[in-house]
Amino acid sequence: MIVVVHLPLLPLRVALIRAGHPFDAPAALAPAPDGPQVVGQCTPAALACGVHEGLRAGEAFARCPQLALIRPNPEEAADTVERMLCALEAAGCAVEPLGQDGAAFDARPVMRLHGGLRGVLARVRAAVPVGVDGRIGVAPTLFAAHQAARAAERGAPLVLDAADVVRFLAPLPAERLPLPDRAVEACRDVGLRTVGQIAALPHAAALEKLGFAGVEAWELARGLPGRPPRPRTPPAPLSAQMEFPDPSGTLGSLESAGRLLLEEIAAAVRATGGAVRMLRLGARLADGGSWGRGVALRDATADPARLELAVLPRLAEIPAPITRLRIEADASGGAGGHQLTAIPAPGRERMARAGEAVRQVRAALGDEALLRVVELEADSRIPERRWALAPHPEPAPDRP
Amino acid sequence: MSTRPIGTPSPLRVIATPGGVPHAVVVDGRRRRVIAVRDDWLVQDRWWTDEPIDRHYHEVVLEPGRLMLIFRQGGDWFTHRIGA
Repeated sequence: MIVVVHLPLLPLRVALIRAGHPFDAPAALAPAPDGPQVVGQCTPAALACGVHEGLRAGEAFARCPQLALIRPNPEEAADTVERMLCALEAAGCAVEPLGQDGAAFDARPVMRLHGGLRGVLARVRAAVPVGVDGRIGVAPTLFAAHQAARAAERGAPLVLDAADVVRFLAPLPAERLPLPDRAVEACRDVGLRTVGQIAALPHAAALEKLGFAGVEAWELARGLPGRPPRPRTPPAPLSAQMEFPDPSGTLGSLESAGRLLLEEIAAAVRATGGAVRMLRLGARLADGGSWGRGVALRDATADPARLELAVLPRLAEIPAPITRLRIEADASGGAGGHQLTAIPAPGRERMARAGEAVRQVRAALGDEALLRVVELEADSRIPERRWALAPHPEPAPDRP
Repeated sequence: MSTRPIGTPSPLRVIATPGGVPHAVVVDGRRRRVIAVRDDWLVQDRWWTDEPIDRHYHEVVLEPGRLMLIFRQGGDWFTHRIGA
């Protein structure tokens, strides 16, 4: 049995909770500062006024003058999902993340561990974040479980047996199937509007109407298994963050902070013998809300210089002064796979000795014993904001 | 990750003329006469916060020839000890 946890409108709910705004009032996520001026997810009250996701902000206010635009908080939303995934993994479930929509996993391997499906669902309910209105669906296939979760009532998981799947899926709109828009429109043109109508097509007709890519959707409509959940490799999360006593918005200070955090992460990753595959940048904005970006590296690495090349340009996208900068790293990459250089680089021995000296000083006197001056805002008119002392990083061992 | 700012203002005893021009500075318990005021300027910043900055900086040369940056804010004198 596949279990799916569906978190409807999670980014909107998290932003509303943070802003202290009720869910039953007309509200929508505000446009991103660096994106098109269209509103994001909307509450049901806003939808009832004719506002929908993707509508231009001016048109949204024209349709619903009492609409409240809520500043998005993507960092908090991502944290909420990650906490749920970690709680499920702590219960022994091999979880596939479904973005900010929820998660899925095969419950069979953990059923005996938790005393049957009821015990598994109790653990899942405990893992669902409070206040985000999580829904739970259980079915023999991933697609059916996802649809069951979307149809489930709050606090009552919807469990479908194999015999119920086709009957449950039949009245659902055809848009729920993983079909390209063109195929959905082609089906609608000939009167095929529900999953059941598509499931009733013979194989040859399905192939003609939906194409090769749509045959899998046709099989899902008939209750066939489809693909199983693809569990993620639980990441070895590493994070570093810096709090700014005064809001900081200059690119120079953000890059300085970013360099310090990356050096800290790189040192921690090297200590584990791994390498960074992905990074997630997050910032808490001074006037409320947050900003976040994901950075996927082409090759896993623990080299601070390469991490800086990937991360520092993204800091220019931060839209406002911030009070906290946080970098999380997925350090599940292996350090292997790189070819060693045939000719030793000059200075390798010196770097190795310097690194050993730094480690010995730190071991004897603590992290604060060896500091270095870092530039924060070189052009500031206030001298104490120009430079700061930060822990000296360990020189990186020679690694390609 | 924690950083320590460099050059945070520290209080300083300054003897100034009624017009606000520094005349002598007490450094390490010894009074040093101000030979020259090389420059002075105002810095007004962060007025939008609860802790606005309104400083009158003086770059002074003390008696043995030592350069010092001092400033007055709210009637009190401070230094960053830059150039010391």
